[in-house]
Amino acid sequence: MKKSIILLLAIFALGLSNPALFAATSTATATVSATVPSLATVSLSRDTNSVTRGTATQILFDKLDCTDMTGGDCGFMYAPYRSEQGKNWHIVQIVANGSTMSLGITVTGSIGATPLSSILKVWSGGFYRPGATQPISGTPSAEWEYATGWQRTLTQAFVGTVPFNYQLNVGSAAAGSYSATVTFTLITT
Amino acid sequence: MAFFSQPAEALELKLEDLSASVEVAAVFSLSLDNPHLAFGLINPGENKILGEGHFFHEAKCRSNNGRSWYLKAQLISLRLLGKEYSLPYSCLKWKISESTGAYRQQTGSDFTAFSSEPELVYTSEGDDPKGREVILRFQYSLTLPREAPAGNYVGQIIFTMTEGT
Repeated sequence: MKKSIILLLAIFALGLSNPALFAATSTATATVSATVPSLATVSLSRDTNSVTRGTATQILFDKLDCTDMTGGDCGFMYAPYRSEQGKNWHIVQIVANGSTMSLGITVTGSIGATPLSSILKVWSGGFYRPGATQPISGTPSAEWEYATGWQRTLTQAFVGTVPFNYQLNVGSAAAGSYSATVTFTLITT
Repeated sequence: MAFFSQPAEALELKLEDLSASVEVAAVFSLSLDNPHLAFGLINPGENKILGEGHFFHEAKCRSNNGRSWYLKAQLISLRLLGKEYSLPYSCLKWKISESTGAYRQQTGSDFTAFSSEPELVYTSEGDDPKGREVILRFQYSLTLPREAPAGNYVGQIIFTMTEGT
């Protein structure tokens, strides 16, 4: 015990007499600040995995399901065709950096006398971040859902893509050419 | 005659007695002329440079004890106020655009990313530790990830000038 005390005192004395043992230090501090605005951008593109018919701003129904594949239902049309398994029609690209974001769909127009909103369904593959092989949990469709009223909300910022496919219940609609509008709306707060 | 010779002798005596003792104080200092890196409004995915084309601020380093010294910098997070989110350290980068120091090779290079650990910025050379002021002029680059959440971000950079042992 006594030896220890003597040793500590000796080192302290040595330090005082030889400044080289203590390296001088000086510090300066700078603050950093930046403000990121709230952004919400949504755009559509055709899935490169799909065939090239139609454009990014179209959902093209041009073949009855029963024509597309054996056992198909003549009351339905699909984009892409059901035979094109594993492919998507639209890739919706999203940038939303608020603390919450919500993507929704509204449908206007009609097929003959039938409102499109009552016969158009969508299937969503879920929200994929760039490079991800799996979507964010809970976001893919379990089954076909009516397009009007379709909505997903995330309580986080999201940058990435959402694939979509479409189903049209043509029912008893007369043959002909129709057009209607599907609108994607992205809100971030 | 005696009247004029007397003062000369007195002066001579004074000169013999005169002695000078000068003690030069040790100087080891670091200062910044503008300690506020305000990037202002910046969109996700975009890049903004402070001091582009010239420099943003100066770090003035001075040491007169003859021993080499070095300057290190460390980023203490760049976090979103009110949220559990911080930008990656590599989003913020620095560059010495001009230097009055002896070691010129450390200027004009590409931007270098900050780190959570103190990283070497400058090492003294030549006459740097002999009392002359070394001025390092900095530029800064901030690049936001595309998914950077909206809000106000704040952070702190600590510059440390340390003497070699």
